[in-house]
Amino acid sequence: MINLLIADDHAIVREGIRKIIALTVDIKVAADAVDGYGVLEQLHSPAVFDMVLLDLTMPGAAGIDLIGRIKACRASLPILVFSMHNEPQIASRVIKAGAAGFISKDSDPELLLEAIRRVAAGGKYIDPVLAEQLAFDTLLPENRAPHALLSDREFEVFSLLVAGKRVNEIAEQLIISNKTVSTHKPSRSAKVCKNRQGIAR
Amino acid sequence: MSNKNPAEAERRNSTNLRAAVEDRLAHSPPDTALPIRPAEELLHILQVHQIELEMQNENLRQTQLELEESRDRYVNLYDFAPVAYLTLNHQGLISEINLTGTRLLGFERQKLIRHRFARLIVDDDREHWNKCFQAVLNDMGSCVCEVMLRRSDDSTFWAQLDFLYQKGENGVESVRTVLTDISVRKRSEKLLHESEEKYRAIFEGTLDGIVLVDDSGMIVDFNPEFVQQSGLSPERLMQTRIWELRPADQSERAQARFFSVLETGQGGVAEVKYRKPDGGVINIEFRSALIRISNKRYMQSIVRDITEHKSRELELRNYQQLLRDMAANSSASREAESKRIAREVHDELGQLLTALRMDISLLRIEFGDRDPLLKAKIQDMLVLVDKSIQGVRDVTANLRPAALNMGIVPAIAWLCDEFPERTNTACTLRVINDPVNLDDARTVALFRIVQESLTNIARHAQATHVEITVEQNGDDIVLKIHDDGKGFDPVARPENQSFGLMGMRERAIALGGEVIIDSAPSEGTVVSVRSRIFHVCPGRRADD
Repeated sequence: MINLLIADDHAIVREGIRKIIALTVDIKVAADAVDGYGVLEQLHSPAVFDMVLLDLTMPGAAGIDLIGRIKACRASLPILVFSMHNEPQIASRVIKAGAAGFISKDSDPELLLEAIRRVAAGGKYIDPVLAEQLAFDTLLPENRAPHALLSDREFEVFSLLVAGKRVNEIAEQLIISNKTVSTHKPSRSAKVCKNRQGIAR
Repeated sequence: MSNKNPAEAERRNSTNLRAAVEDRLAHSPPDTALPIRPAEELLHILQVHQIELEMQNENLRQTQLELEESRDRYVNLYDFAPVAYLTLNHQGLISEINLTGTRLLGFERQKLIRHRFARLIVDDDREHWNKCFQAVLNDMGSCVCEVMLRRSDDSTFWAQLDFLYQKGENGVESVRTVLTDISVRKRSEKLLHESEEKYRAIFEGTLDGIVLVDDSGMIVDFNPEFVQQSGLSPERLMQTRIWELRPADQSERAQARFFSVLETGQGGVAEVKYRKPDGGVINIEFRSALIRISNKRYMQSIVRDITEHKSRELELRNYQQLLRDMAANSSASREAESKRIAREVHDELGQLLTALRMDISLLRIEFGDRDPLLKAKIQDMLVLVDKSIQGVRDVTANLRPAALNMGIVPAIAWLCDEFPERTNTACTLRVINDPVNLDDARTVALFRIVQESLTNIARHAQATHVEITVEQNGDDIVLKIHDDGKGFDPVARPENQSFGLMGMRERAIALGGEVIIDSAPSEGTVVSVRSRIFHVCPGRRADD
């Protein structure tokens, strides 16, 4: 049995979630909160729950800040963010802040239940539409400008190579050994020259 | 005085002389006491006398020749002297004039001799001449006068006349006159006078005060405006050193400054407050320069009363600040309003639609399987609800993108993702380091600047690629928006014609930062934004 803490400031939404949960036998709503402080209060109450279904925008503490506080209080508690937002940047930040999953509120109930089960089991879940966008926008190398793939150091070495500097000169200028320069050079070649051969000598 | 044939003259002279001697001898009584001498002795005596006379005669002739030579030399000197000489009798008639004089006047000598000198003088100067000439005759002395003379060709020239009274042994009075052409001197004197008059007029008439200070600091010259500005009398000013015009506590500095101008030759502009003796305080601008007059150093200063100018400038600056504050305020309240509307639409309408969608979904799950028609109808409803939800999202994103709540980097990343969908221009974000602790006002302002830059790129640049870099550099956040579009000439297209660019600048100024636009035709454009990072307390961090 999955015991759920629902945090949403809209009663009508909380009601909707309850109705969806009621379709299942393995999930039950153990507690709910109408704002950030309510969530933090619940963390210190005797109520038992296995995960939090969290709205991002609520009065009081909310969003990334609230996720941080929950994690600070109970690091092992899985958080599934259930939000009106569907921007990949927000999903990405939420995951970085420590949430286990992100699902948008206009998803079908089946998906929501699946997400709850996955997160409660200790897994990760990202709304499939967003996951796709995230993957294509930022993760797949082909969609990014070649030099954007370079690390800062690689980019420095790359710029100097393009400017016609020799390895030893670059080593001197960046105060690194010429071996380090050479290490950054092959990785540059792999990432950049795959597309545009011979851009640098 | 001519001497055409000296031998003929001499012969005639000696013939006359002999006749005179014989005549005298015939009339003188015979000398009875004369002893009778022998004829030989008498002959000898006569021969001696004859030789003696011949020698005397030779001497006389020699002397006469020398005299004639000397006289010729004198005549030459007189006639060809570099200045004109003339002699006037007591009636003012010309009795003698040298060649130089005749040439100067353009008349032949005989047309001048025995004529009135006065007729050569132009009418206006005749009176003056008369006085001078009479004075010389009366005083039997000398005099110099300047008159304008008329030549034979009617042209005129300035002449200086030096008179010297002479009285010959025979009692004849005459006035020796030296006549010098002084036209050139007169002309340069006239030019000098005009120039002096012109510069005086400029000096006196200028609306700025002008003061001239000698190398000891003493005021030596000034114009009426300076007198007016200083509030001191001209007599008082002439006894004042320039730094004594300043209040006692500043005079030492003013003195040092004066000597620095004097030593280095480096003038300059200073703005000072000056308290007039009547108590009024004026702002003046002091422009000083080192000048040399007859190899002596002076400091020349132009003094301008800029009190009114100053107060207008201040007024203008205040007004500009007021406008800027108003614009910032209006932009801030528009942001706040957008935020409020976005939240309201998103929260109220959005949540209602969400709940509605859940209910419809539940309908589908509970009853959909019973009736295919109902299921299809429910599906249609879901499509409609989803469209409505998308509408809500679009509206809120336009008002204020939700990513803005996550910090500057997610917000710009969101812009970057949106951009290619509208423009077919690729946009990449390079985060060198993520600036944390950026407050909401700054985040929004920077976001709007980037957004405006992208709008400009979409409208004008025809770029294929845009790169945005975000960097925290010490206490500054630096954003660069670099496109590879067609660029423009920032000089040829002044940016104050574009409200977009002006708005970007104003937003940056409101943050205490700046926007620099670097572009050239067909070289793309780089918009650089720099702003201080405002440190908020850690508890209110809006970012990870």
